[in-house]
Amino acid sequence: MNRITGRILEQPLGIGEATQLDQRRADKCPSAELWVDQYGDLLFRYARLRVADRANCEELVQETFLAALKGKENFKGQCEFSTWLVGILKHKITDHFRRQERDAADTLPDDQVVDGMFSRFGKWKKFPRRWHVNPEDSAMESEVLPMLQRCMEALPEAQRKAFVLSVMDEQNSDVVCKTLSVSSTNLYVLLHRARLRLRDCLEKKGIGQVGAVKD
Amino acid sequence: MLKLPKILNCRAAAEMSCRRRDGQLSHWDRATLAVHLIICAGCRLMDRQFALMDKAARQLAFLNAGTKTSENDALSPEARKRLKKLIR
Ligand SMILES: [Zn+2]
Repeated sequence: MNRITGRILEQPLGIGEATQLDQRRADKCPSAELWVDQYGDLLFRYARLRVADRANCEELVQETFLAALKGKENFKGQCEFSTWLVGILKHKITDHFRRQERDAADTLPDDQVVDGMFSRFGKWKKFPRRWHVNPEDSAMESEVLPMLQRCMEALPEAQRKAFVLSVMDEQNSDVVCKTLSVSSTNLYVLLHRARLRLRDCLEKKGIGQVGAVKD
Repeated sequence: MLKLPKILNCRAAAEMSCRRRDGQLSHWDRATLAVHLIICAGCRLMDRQFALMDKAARQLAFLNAGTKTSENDALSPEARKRLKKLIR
């Protein structure tokens, strides 16, 4: 009963379509012993960009593979298998953030690094420099993106998570507030501190300067 | 009396520049920020740099699946071995 209504709600299947579906799924889903070699690094990189600690990332990849193993039947072949895996990992990362943030305080401590960027009167101590970067050109990918990733890794936990979820993954701020259990005011504070630190870090790495320091 | 946008300092301008990107900034605050950006070259650069950083971050997320940005970006041999034993 349940299965039938479920299928009708999902999408009605004509005769022959069911076997087509199985075929599509089989084409796209390689057997499990190949998963680690084919998708392990991809999933690890996805996690690594969002979660600072390597060991945590490896654990998240493992959880993802195990969940995929258990729920293989849910893969219907409507997207690439890698996309399906990343979808699982995405949920695992959100859970991971949620678990970590359970005892987040209501008030954010001051950020001395950001405080140090401005004078008592709120003026720049060190004026921003001009960056010679064209977002359309190839230097963006080869120079800026790796730098940005390194700088993101150096952010304090809470700021990094806020930046990752809101800016990188473009999640709605209500959702991000819930995941990180912070008020919207605090989310804005975390985001602007994150940007100021990233800006500073990128500049220190020599972004858009001639003879930039690569790392 | 005519109400003019108050003069911001750079720190507050940085906050507003971000707030404009992340949520809502009232018309009044937008005007206040715009005035500061006219008179302050440093914050003008900052404002553009924030835009570039956001764009780069989204690009990073998008490209991530296919790009390896450093040697650290792969599973360690130990983890690979452990996973292979587990996933079959
Ligand atoms: Zn300024």
